[in-house]
Amino acid sequence: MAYRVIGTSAARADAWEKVRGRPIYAGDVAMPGMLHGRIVRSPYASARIARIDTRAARALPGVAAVLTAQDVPRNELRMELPGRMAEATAGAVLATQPVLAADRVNFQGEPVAAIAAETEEIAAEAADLVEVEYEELPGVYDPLVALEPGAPEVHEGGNVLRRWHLRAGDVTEGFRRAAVVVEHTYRTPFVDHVYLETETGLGWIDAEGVLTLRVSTQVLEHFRDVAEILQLPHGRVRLEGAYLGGGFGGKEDVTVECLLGLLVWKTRRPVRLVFSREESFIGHGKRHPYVMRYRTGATREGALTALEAELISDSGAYAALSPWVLFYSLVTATGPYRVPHVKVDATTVYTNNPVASAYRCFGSIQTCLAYEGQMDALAAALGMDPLALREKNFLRKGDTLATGQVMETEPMIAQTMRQAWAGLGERRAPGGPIRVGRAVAASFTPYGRMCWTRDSASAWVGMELDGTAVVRCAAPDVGGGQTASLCAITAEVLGLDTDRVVAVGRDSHFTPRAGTTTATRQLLMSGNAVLAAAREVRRHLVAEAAALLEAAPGDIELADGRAFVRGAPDRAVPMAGVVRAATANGRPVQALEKYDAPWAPTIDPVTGQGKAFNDYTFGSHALEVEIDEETGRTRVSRLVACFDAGLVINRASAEGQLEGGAVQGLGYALMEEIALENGVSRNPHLLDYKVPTSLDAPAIETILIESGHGLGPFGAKGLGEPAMTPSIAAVANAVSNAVGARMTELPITAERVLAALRSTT
Amino acid sequence: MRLRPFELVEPETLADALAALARLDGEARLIAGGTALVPMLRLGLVKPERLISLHRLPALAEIRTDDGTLRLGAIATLADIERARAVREGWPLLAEAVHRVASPAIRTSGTIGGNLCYAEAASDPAPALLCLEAEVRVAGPAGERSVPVTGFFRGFYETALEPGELVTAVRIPAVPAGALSGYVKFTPRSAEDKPLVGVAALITLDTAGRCAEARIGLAGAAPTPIRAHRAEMVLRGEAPSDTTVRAAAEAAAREAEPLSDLMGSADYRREMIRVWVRRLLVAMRDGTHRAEPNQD
Repeated sequence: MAYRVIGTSAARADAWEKVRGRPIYAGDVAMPGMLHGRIVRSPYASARIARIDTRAARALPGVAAVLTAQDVPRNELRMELPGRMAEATAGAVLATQPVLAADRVNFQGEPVAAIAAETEEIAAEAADLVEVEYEELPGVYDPLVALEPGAPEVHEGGNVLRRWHLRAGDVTEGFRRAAVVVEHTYRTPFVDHVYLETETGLGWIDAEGVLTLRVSTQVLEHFRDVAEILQLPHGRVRLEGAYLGGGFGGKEDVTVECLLGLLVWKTRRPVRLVFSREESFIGHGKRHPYVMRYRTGATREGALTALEAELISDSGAYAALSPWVLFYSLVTATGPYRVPHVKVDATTVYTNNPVASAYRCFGSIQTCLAYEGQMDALAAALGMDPLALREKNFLRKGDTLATGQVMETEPMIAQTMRQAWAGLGERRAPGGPIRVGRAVAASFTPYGRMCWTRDSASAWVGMELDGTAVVRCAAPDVGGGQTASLCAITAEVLGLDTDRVVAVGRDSHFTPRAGTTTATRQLLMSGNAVLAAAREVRRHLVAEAAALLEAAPGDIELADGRAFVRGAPDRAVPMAGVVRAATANGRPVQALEKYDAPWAPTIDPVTGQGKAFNDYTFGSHALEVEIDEETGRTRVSRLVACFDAGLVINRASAEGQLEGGAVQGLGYALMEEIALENGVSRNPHLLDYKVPTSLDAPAIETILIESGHGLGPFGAKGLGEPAMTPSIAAVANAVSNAVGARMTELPITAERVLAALRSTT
Repeated sequence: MRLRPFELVEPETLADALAALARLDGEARLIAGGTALVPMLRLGLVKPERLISLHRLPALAEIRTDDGTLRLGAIATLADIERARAVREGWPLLAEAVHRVASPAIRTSGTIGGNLCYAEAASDPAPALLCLEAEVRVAGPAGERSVPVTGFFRGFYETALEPGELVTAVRIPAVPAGALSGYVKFTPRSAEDKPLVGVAALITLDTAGRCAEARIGLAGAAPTPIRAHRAEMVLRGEAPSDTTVRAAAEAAAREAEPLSDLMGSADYRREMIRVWVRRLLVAMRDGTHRAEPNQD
């Protein structure tokens, strides 16, 4: 089918606003009489709060409120996907976290008091005047230590937060059949999202007495969390979504929402709360560090026989989304391969480190480092070409994952790997002290939530009398072009140009609920809801146009802002005429539709068997590195990213996802790490937490395959998270290729590479 | 984080600036470009009650040459210095090193005096100034004095300035005729970073091809920027053969007293000094050293 809008690089409405610096972000707006929020945070990772004295802070002129735990009506934030997780949480702890710490703090940066004052300066001064007497307690800062008997307990009941298990076949038998077995332990660090826009929001009480928060968030449904902690009816709290200056999962959990809501509700005045970069570093969820012990076996011919893995993740001080991140690791532990005999045990552990939670790829990227490292190690042990070994074992249509899920369409993984590799071109000749290495990493990543969560999204599409369309859908736009894609889908279906389709904002109460912009679910969920609503509107418009043009509805086409008879383009009526006629005749020109993702029962908690996710996105990175063998410095000279997008909605946005995912992965692979000393960050600032700049980005080629196999609109799959998944494995494999030793620990710093080079010579 | 309230003093004469600095009512700090001070204020590492801005003292921003000596006013920006024709032609080593500081935005704001007074071990300009035998002009309650840059860095983020003193200018004598020079900056993390090590070198060769003059300045090699005197001694009087250059690099690595931090360990820094001193000297000797706009 030929599309007119879909697949083009249609300019986004928000792009112009962003380059012009218009106030489209949550922190851009001020209100008359607005107060400034400020959070007092614990400097200790593990301590008892002996006493909090707020008198001096409250006495400071210009201070409107100094709030502590006792001021929070229900000081317990529950960690669950709203209303959706209870079923699967059975057997796990009900994870909670105080809004403001009451008698003990469990991580550096835990909020202890919230202040609102007339100016930021007064708020800062008041924060200094809050006297908190801490008594330091023994803490635990390593998940392996936390699992040992007698380790200090972060929360009562032991440090194991959640275990997951995957069993397929008989792993003992599988290793018996193996001619070669490789074993490595892979380690990854805590890393930060480092979005340009830190956590921020503005709150006020509107004329109806509704607590309204304009917040930089991926989850408008957090209005429920705010209502719960304030013990208000859910309808009394509204979240208004602004465009985000980046989210990457870091704005999936509650960030400013509850603290801001509390300050507004107690002061009855508008309040703005903006986290500083330092607060952002210590105050929101990080990516989980993992220790992954992998054993993988194969026959002499290279057929995988068995995979055994033990995954341990550091949840930090509270649960947040750790059990679910770990679940993604469980499901993706084998990689996109047929493995007949599998045993995976995964554990997430409490420590007094920063809270770890969602970050782009959500547990799928750490396992990719391990399973792709294993594939290259196996290829070396077998004397096989690493690509040939992968080809031999890739999942094909009809194969089953270790979870028992059948691949119902052809996974395009082999195609992505071959095209990525071919894109690298000729191998650069080494010269002087430069060693050249190249490698691929193949990956798969779920898009859309776990099947058992009964995920759904709603959207409304309607026509205005001038023949333009309006989309109402509460899907936060994190910068990936979510809103523009919904408009493009509408424009395509209704035969309009994209500038004739307007999205009217994202709001928990004024636009239909679309769920979170997380889990690479918005194109699948809101995209399908918008598609259904647009098609329903189209049905009405076609019926009216058929009557106007005295033709059969089946012969009516909508294109270029008008309706016409197929084959007779002169028999046409402008869209405005169709809408006016429909309105005059009482025919609806709007529709509200809900899309429900396919459902499957909860997986078996003992064996991990079941259908965990509805579909996956497959993709590969191929890259070439140049390593200075005297300094160990790695330069990625060329990177090719190839993914099966199913279908491309906006080409520039899709390519942007692939490029951004690749560069974010290079930072994770080569330079990023939150340096902790007993739970306290030594680099909560960009002076010493380095991320890639444009000077560090290599030439990136992006290749998008369009299989049409996706469950999203027109056969699209999700790309947001998958775009990053193969990145760290590809870098580690390419460096390993150049060095001649397996790089198993991130970040792969120059110093580590030099040490590896020395160990091999 | 917003800055804490402070009093801003904007003197219009050097005497007023010194008077403001001499007032004994609380901590005062001088501010020019603010590229080092403002992050420190934000992080709460310094909490001055008074900032004395030098921006109304245009004489302090002047870049000029007097009888072959280059005089850089203390608040001349790094961008102005790297672009100044006199600097590029007469003191190319300085232009090259200054060009490597951070990013264009920082260089547009940051000043040479501020860079010196921050006294960071990982400074790009400092190794070049050490090689160029620059002299720091200082004004204070007791009048003016000169401090050779080799004596200006006293310790970790510590300078030879006495209370009440400020830097007014940097004077750099003419570069010896026929000198070869160069600067290399090694940033193993992001390309936009402080140097893990920075190496500046300046050599002159006699008619027999032996090093008559040899100066090597190092950043990231000790708690302060330093001259690698032992390495220089290895070079002086010798032709810069591969063997001699290796010996000089080895001497530099040995005399360095680097610190360990999040960028790298002391051992790694020492190793990198060995590599980059050798590479720079070889490239200067062979005429292959190029002042690069960025590392790679």
